[in-house]
This record gives sequence, C-alpha cells and structure tokens, in this order.
Amino acid sequence: MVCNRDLTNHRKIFEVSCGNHNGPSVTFITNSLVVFRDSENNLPVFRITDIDTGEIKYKIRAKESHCAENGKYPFSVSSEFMGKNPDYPEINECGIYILDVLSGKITLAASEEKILDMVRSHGLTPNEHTASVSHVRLNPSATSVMMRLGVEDCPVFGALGCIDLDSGKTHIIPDKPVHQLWFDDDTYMATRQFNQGRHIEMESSYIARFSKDGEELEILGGISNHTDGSPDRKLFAGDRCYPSFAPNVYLYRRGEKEPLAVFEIPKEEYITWKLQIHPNPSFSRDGKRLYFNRQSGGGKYKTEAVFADISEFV
Amino acid sequence: MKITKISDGDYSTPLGMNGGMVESPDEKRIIYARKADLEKKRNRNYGL
Repeated sequence: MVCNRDLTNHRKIFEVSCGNHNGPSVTFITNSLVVFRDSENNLPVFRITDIDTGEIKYKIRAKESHCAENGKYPFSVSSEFMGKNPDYPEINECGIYILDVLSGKITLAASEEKILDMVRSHGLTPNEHTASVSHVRLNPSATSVMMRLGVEDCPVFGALGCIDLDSGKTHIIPDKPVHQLWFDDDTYMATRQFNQGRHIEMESSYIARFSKDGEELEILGGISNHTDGSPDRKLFAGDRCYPSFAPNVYLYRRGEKEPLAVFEIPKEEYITWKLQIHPNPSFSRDGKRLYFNRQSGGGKYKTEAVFADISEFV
Repeated sequence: MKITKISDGDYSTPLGMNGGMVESPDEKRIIYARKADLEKKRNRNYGL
C-alpha cells in the first residue's frame, strides 16, 4: 500500500505472498521505485516495482536487503537460487551481488569462495549455512557491504562480516551485536545483547556504535532489540522485543541509556512470537517521526503501522 | 505524545525491517503492507 505522507490517497500497488516476519520488507529506493519480498513456487523472490506505473522493473530470485543506497541494491544468492534467474545470466554463481537499479547492471560483489575465505582468514570455521548470507547491506557511499554470517564458532548470535569493495579488505565481528545497521560509512549501530545460557537478557541490552572489527566505540542508547538511528544520528530507537515483556518502543538521546520517551505497546505474545510481528522502529527522513508496528490490543490478532510525532526532541 | 495510525482501514498493516525506508526520498509518500488476517501465513494476501 502507498499513501501520501499526510495519510491521504491510500492505494494498493501489488499483492504478495510471504510470511509475517518483516512482512514483505518493503522499502523505497527512489521516489517511484520500491522493492519488496514475494515468493513463487515456495522460492523467495524480490521485485522492484514502479508505484506510479505498476511496472515490475526487476524480479530476481534471491535474498533481499534492508534498503538501497545511491540506487544500488545488494542481494545474496545461495545454492537454492542457482539456475532460477534465466533473465539474468550474470547471476551464475553463489555470492553477493549489487544491482544498479537505474542502469540494470548486476555486479558480483563477493563470491561464495571469497565469503568462505573471509571467515577462515579471521580464524572462524564455516558451517553448511555460512555461504547463505543474509541481511546484506551497503554503507551510505556503497563502498562496503556487510552481511550476517552463520559460523560454527558463534551458534547464538552469528558473525557480522564486511567487505570493502574497492580494496577487498575484510572485517568480521564474531558473536555480533544484533539488528545491525550502518551508522556511517565506516561504523555500525546495533544492539549488544548478552546470552545468559537459557535466554538472552533484556535488562542488560543496549544500543552501541561499533567499528567494522567489533570495537565498541560509544553507547548510543539503552534497552533494545530492533533499532534505528535518526538521520542526524542524535536520536536512537529500540524495541523491547523480548519474551515475557510488552514490546514497547524507546526513544533515546545519543549516549543516554535512560529513554526520552516510551511508546507502550500491548503485550500480545502470540502476535510477537507466533505471528512474528515485531515493532521494527524506523525514523522518517526528517527525523521528526518514528514509525513502528504496534499490536492493536484487546486480544485481537492485529497489528498496525503507526508513527509517533517526535518533533519536540529534534 | 501523539501516535498516528497510518492505514485508513481495519487491517493489519506491518512495516518492513528496522531501518527500512518507509518514506520516499522526496518525503511525499509512505509505503506499508496490508493483511486481512495475520494467521494466514503464506496465502497470497499481503496487499502492497
């Protein structure tokens, strides 16, 4: 669905088939192009669609990214996708690719071999899922690509890999912080969590900034799981998406663990964990709105996209 | 603090991943998904 920012003119642009977790992961690329996840014959596919004309510009069977940077959209191809993209003969091996959405050019950014070599060179042990990377994302200048890696040594949190595209230099954070995003071209923002054996602890979690090699550079906020930072990086948001807690959304001033504001969300564990709808906060481009998913409450299995007006903190 | 619902109907309306671009670069439009019944997991019933 697309609507104007003033919430007028709602209209449907496409009908998709996918699970609830992150929904179709829809995100804008340009003013008229959006990318979203769908499935065909039980195989994930992402589509890039012009919301004004309805034209499907690209349909690629691969694992999608969070968003595009400078018109470049990264995606990952693992073995189940091989031979499934006859319209794109350049997708001819497993690895990470970058699509230039305006020119249509597809470039291999990292082969499967490169990914496995990166893991081994940092002293970690690949497992059968290592080459099937997820959450690939370009930094704002599209000069580095990060990815979530499954490795033998990090069974709980996995590892966070990064390849600098010009030099080929690689970086890895074992037992990575979670729900990582780029803070800027060279550093990440993510939630540091601690595994207490039988569960991951909510109370000790916090949002922090990390170097590509895992050094914690500064605290950005307090309790969190899914997180985001405002465009000017002065405000941060995180959700309390942990079992047995209402998945409230918290707004933080950079460097403070005490929240500026708390947005309460009804505790509907069935929706959060069985139906897999998480608050997933995202700032608006002017930083004056905080978008998130909120359970409707009242025992209904419903969730609604909302935004909080946070202009008083900007 | 004011919280505003985006959808104009009686649906579930999930946004994408954390840090996704809900707004267009010119800040004129919003994109979200719409589903009538969250318990139908993989039916072709997510409206975009």
